[in-house]
Amino acid sequence: MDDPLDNDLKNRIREVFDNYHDERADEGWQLLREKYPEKARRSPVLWLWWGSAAAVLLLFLGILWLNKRPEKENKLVGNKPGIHHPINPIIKSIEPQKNGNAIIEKNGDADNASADSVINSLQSQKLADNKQLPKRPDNKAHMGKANGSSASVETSNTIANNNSVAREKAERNNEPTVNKAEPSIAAITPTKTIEKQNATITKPDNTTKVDSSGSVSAQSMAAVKPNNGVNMLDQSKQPGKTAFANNEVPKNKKDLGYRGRLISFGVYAATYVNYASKSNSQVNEGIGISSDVRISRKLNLSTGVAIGQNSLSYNGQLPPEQSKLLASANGLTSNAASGKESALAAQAYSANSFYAATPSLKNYTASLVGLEIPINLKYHFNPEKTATFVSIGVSSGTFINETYTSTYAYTTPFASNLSQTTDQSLQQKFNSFYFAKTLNFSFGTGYRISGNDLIVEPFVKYPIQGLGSQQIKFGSGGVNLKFNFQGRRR
Amino acid sequence: MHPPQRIAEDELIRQCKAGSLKYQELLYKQFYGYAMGIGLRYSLNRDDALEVVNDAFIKAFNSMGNYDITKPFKAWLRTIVVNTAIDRRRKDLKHQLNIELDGAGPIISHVNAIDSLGVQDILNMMKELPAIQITIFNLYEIDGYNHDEIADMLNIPASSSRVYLSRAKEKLRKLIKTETQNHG
Repeated sequence: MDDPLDNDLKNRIREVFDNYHDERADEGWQLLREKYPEKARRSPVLWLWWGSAAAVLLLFLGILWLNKRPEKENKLVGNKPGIHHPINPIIKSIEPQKNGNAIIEKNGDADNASADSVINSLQSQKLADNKQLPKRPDNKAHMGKANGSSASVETSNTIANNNSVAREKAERNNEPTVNKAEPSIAAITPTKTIEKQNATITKPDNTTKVDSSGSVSAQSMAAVKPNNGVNMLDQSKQPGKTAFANNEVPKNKKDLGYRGRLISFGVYAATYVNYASKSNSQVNEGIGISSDVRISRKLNLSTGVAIGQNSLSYNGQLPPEQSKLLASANGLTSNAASGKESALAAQAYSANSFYAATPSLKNYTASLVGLEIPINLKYHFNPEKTATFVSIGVSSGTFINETYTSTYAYTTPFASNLSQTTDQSLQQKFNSFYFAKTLNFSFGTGYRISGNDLIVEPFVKYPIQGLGSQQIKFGSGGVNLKFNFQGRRR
Repeated sequence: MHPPQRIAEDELIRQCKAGSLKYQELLYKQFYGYAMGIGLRYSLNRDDALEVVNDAFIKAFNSMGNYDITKPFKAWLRTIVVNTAIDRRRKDLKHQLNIELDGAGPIISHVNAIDSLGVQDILNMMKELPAIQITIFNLYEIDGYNHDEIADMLNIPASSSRVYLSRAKEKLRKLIKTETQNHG
């Protein structure tokens, strides 16, 4: 400033502002305390802490929510009609070899309700041995006591589950020799063990022996042999240990990638459609937490854990995987059957077919609550500016709960237009751990919100192999809505 | 021998380096007026200036470990406040360029004597200038930055800095002379 006026002004400005006094320092300090030191401590660790707490809470709520659904289904399934039908002849063809004791295998799962509902005894088997007709009138008489009329049971179109509960109770009261009137659901066995079953048919070492006399419910047979009813019982005679040989569930989730080179993590909710060959599409939901570990500027290793519901529905047929296995098992057991057994079976069948209902599969549903651990490679197109990426990887995991329900319809020989339906279910928990059996593809794009990313991520999961105890090959496709907490500002 | 205030300042800074919140408060209150004076010159209103000052103090507390205690604290704090104000101005440049004058009174109340100019007089006068001009005026004339440094700070050519400074000074001269004639 050459002008003296400028110099005077400059000096005056300096003087005034360098000696500026403001009595509101306390007010200013209070304002500063709103940001400090809290703001300085708002480190990535704090973000991680709060985010983890939110993720765990979400996961916990999700497990609770998802577990309620199968329970409801199980209650429905548990209300099976307590009607005892004349037994499928194959039982008679085999069981007489066991010293007259009815030997029915139960599912080896200790937690499975089927353990309590082992088929009691084979009343009709003894009848078959003695060349007598089964004591169906007795059964009818029991039913008649409970319901007033046995005919009403036999000819009812579809027996309501609630009514069947009452009938079961009444039947138990009226038939003290029968420990459990519920039909066994153990007859449905994991198909992957069918070949082993064939090899051990004559060695039912691990089967549960039931000494009490009674009748085998038609449901238990129908579950095994819905179509030809000849040799499928053999498949139910698997050693209990085979059904849960892979019952080792990895419970340690330490290596989920939350520590170490963790850069960011997120929580997400997924809506997706399950798909499988010959299955109807089912819309399901899931939630999960994820963590991204930066490998390079554009490449992340993404992992986490997710829990989701998977459901499949087959109308009038079994899943293709099961159909193949059953077909092969049928062939093996048919060839193995001796001529004497065949003759006995044929004789017994002819004797009882007069009364036997013919089951037909109306519906087959699979409901699986999966615990999934994906490991994906994520390529970010422009990590500094956008959250757009593509991802590819595989998923491993297990199923917290698996419920397979078969709905059969029975028509009576006397009135073909009258039928009843029966549900058979198999439930397993943490049956096995599968490794890298699902291929994952996804594309994500997001929006930056307060330094974090809200990401919309369409995805497809393609099954490499069958999943679950029934080895059903199913996949899913849907959208993840993900909120990524940025542990470190970019 | 250091004057008592200097000794107190050293003690304040030493305790602040140790992370004592109590001494940070004392340091804040001791240098609050000084920092507000700087902040006001760049922000031109008290609320914005207070935000600048508080952000600057937070930076200072967080960076206290890097402060060389042998150098004047005021100069170090001044640099932080100026940089914070510039950062804020850079973000809010569009807003700053459109800022409305909030002073309804006379631009200069005692124009005959520059020495009698008060804080509000100077602020009102500065508000007559575009934000970029008053910023460069402050940086160059009051805080002692050269045009190259200003160019780096504001991300403009050094030649533009010179032009803006020249226009700012010319405008200030006119404002003072006009008001002097009106009141003379």
